Amino acid sequence: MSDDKTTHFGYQQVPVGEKAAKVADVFHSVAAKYDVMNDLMSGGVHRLWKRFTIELSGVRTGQKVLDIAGGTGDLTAKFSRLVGPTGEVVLADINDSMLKVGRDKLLDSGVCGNVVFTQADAQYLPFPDNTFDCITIAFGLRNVTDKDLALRSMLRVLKPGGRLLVLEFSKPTNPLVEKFYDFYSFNVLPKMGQLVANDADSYQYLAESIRMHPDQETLKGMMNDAGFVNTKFYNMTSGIVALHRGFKP
Amino acid sequence: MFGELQSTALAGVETAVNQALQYDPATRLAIEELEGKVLAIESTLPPLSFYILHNQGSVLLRSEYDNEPDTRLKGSAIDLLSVAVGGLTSEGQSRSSFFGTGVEMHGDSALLSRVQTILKNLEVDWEAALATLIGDVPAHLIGKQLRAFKHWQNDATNRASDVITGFQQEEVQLTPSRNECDAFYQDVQYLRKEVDRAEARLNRLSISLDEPPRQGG
Repeated sequence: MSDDKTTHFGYQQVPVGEKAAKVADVFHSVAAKYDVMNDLMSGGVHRLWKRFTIELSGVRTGQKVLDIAGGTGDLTAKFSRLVGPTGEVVLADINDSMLKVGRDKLLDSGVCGNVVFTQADAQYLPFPDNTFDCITIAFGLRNVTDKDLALRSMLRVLKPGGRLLVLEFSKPTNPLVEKFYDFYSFNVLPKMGQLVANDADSYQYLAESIRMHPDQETLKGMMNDAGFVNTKFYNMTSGIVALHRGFKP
Repeated sequence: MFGELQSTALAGVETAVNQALQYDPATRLAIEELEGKVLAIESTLPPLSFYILHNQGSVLLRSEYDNEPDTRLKGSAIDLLSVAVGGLTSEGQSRSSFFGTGVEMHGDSALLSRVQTILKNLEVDWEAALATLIGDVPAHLIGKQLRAFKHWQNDATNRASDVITGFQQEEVQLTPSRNECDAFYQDVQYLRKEVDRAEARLNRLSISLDEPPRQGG
């Protein structure tokens, strides 16, 4: 294939076809220590961000939920309880290492019966049109090669009136917080990654990929362009993380 | 709006409540019957609002809820708390009116009544909860001591209340006894009825005086 188009992988430019494999390498490497690192890096605040995502999901008994880039299944576990035995939660992740860790963790904690595990690419979701009441993608969208394609794919599989929730790192709203956050991301995070997960490069990529990710307004615009309506974003922890919500008309 | 502090507090309370409910299966069953029902609590002082959702026998506390809740309660935190825990009359019936409580209620009052009944019947087996931490025998010994203390405390409170009442009514005759009060209330009631009758008679008399004398045929 003579495709010479490039995309960003952190601060590097890589051929479009190579980004997915590079991202996959990152997550193969960190899968085993993913939960520990999340708690360490965020000081446990990621649990509050996810909790707020669940609150805004409005998911009820009997509904169908798709948790894209569900990783180790934090959101899936909560959705599984909310939808009950008559509902269904699909945990999808493109990375088989993450999916295996998530599946084992959920089964070990007794979350089963209404949960399905699928290895799927967010850009080409393997589900029929109008299938889900709610779709979430938490800390996954920035790793997707073509975000517009992924958003359109999510819109397709959502039921009319269904909602998409994108939880992702974003741009801090406070300049002081931003300075501290930059220092923390580029000096502390890679060292933490080296110490705990024995992988500084993956956490360097994490910090870089966050900076390359579209800010709040840009992502909101992308969701509108993809066809979502009533889009809105909620800044959390001074905009370090933002939750975007949009509905399928 | 996302607030870390409120979210942390709600998460903590939610976990604690659901942990406690593990040791009260009857209440959990009662909560299962409230599946899908939503109660909104709006505290004016301190300004705080949250939603209580019921899902699969557990309680969920949320700072955001899209739809209209089934019941909405609004008032200061102290008033709300007093309605929640003391919202039952002495006969164990649910309060049918919030007049004078400082709490406003909108929506389904039956839900509130059911929640109040659940709170009244709440009986968490703290001994079982403690046993999972420190073992059956020590938990039982601690539970026994606490029960004995509670029994003594109830007994002491009742006796103190009786002694104070007796002293006030019989020794210093500061307040009347219940029997005296009842007799007084009956007299007042009797007097009121007599006054009503006298008023009716006077009215009848004044009407008959105002009427022109009938022409004899």
